[in-house]
Amino acid sequence: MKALRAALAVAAVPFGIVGYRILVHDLHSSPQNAVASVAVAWTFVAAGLVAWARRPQNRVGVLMTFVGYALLERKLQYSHDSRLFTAAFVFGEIGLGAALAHVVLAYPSGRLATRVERWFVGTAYTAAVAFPAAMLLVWDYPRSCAYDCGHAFRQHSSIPIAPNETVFHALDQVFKIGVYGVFAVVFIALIAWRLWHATPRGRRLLAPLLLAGVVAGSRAVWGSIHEISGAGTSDPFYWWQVTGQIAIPLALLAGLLSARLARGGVADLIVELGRTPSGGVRDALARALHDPTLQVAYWLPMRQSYVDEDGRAVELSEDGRAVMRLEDIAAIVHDPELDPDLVEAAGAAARLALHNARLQADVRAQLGKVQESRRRIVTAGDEQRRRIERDLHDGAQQRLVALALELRLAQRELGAVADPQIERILASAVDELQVAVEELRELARGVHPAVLTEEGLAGALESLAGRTPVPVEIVSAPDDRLPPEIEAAAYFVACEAITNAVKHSQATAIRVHANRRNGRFVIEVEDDGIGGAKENGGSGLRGLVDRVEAHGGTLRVESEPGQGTRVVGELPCAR
Amino acid sequence: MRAVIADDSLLLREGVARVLADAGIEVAASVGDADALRRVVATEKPDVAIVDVRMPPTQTDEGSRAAEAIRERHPEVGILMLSQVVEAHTALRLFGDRPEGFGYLLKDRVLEIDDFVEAVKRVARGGTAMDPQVVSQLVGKHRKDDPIDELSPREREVLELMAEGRSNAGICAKLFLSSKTVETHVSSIFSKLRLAQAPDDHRRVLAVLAYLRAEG
Repeated sequence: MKALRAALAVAAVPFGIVGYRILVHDLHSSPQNAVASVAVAWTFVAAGLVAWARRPQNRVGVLMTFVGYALLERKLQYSHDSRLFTAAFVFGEIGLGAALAHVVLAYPSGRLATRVERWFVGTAYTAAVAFPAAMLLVWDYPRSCAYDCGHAFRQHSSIPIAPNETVFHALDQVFKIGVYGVFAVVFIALIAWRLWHATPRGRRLLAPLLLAGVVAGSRAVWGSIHEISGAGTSDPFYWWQVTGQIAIPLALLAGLLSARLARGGVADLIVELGRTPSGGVRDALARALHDPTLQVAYWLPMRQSYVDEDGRAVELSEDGRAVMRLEDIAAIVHDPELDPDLVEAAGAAARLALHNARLQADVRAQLGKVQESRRRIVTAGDEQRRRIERDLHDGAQQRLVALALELRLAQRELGAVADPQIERILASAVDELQVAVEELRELARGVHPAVLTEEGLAGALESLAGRTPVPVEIVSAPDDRLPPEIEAAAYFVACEAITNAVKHSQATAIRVHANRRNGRFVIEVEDDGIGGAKENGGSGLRGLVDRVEAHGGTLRVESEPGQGTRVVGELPCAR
Repeated sequence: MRAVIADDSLLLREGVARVLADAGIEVAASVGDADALRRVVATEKPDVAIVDVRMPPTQTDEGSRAAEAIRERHPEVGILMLSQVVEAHTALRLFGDRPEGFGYLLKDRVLEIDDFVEAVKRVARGGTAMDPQVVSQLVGKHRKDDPIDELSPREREVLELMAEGRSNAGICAKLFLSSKTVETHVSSIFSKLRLAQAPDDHRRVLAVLAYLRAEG
């Protein structure tokens, strides 16, 4: 490739000199105009080769070189040699028309992005070759004349199959006024569309397009006026065009190299990633690529879906965004105006860091699932407890009371007439049943107190306090109802803490606080006992820690010997 | 005296009906759910309705909601709620500001037939019946510097019986005391709790309950 570029660079020099000679001798251009014309072509070749060398993956460099050569080739059509003229005339319109449109629209990625652009460029190439070819076929020497018609010399087509000046003239006019005009308008419209839809960052990058649009537009307008009125182009306009045409390749080159400069950011990125925690990969990429809107989605093969850094599922929306997929690791969703090569380079540099971040996202996603299922298990357990309580209440308890009442009535009926022995048996049966009912009631209360369902936490705490042999002061309790899982968790924390205080701490007073603090619900039980309780001491407390953590809360026990015990449960509670 | 019974257990309903019939109380109707209860109260105009707190279809608080509706529309009908569990919080909510003609008892109290019949009659006559378990929860509620701590054990017993809604005669019978002794205890309790003497039983219950429910 290097040799090819060197050959193209060297070849452009004699090619340009030949063109200069033809312009001056055969077209009778002024030397300055001829120099300027060759300079435009050389600028394209030079800028194209530089871009090609610096960004070998990007086709803009190649296309610019091609435009340069097409412009050099264009000079040959002014030759008085009939065969050289014929060959050069067929391709003479490519340089300033189709190829220039191609490179401008392909900038900065080197590819034509939309179907409309591809269709436009294809048609432009076809028209740029088809019209001159058709004109050569109907060339009617010596009447036909394509340019410089004031001159005595007339070009001679080598392939005049059906000479016809009328058809020739019609083709010439349609091509120069109609086709050129229409293509110029569509070209300007495409540029305007791209600028309009570009992001602010993209618009800066697309500045060369604006320049090309203005140059092409003015050239088409002036060209058409010139063709219709027959007036010669003015000198200032010629120089304006030359300046514009030289500026286009330079602007394109500058644009490409600025992206190239951003590649230096990739090197910084590699250094930075060595120091960044994996959560910062996105930020590091966004900084390196100068795209603050950049997002990273991690691919989880187990789930066959993308997730964000926290393990939450995300949809890759390509709506107005470009997506760069790093196979099996991640996808970078970025500003579509970013150079894809650059994004790929940054992605490759960040590959290891992205891989680590993906593993973390995977772990977070799994952790999230485990927490979710833990919460579901506890909630299902609570639901089960509520059902058992209700079944005991409506079933066994109800039946036993009814049965006891039957026996009591039997005892009364028989009492007067029968043996006192029978009456005693019946009386003790009733007593036994009453004890059984009482035991069932306590059992049901332990499973899930009805008062918690019916009256909420405040009522349940009051009931708990009323049944505790040690004085319990409810310092604060919520007036309203909380989500059932929060009520249950807070209640069981209080219940266990109070039970422990009564059983183990020799407490003489217990205080309970239950209230909201900064979006959390806090249940706090303190006693004045001997202290020294351990968080992982009893299985009861361990179970409570599980229950509270399942709802995303925390439970801690402060129990210095001789300082009493304080159990504090905190539960997230938005309401 | 006429009563209606609402309870989804047929066996219990029949048992209670027998108990009431034996005590000379006419059982005008006996039904199994809250809607039927509302209907028979409207048609039979009983003196008292004996209502299970939990009834079909949801088995949560149909009974207490029906009771509230009945108190609203037929304030002359006494309501005696029966429940498998009694809680002070629930009791105070159900009683609201009107303990007249209202009772709230643990279901197994029906086994103490004489006490139960006495409670039914009291509620039917516009009196009050509060379950002893609720009363002891209320009395046991700990407050700082609670004047209840100044009461003698006997006075405490009398206070609890008053809170259950019993009249002086009822308290005499329960504690085997003379009516004079009971009166002395009552006035001592009122002065220790710094309450104004109430002219009748209804207002006495009101005053005692208001005292007990007051937040420490």
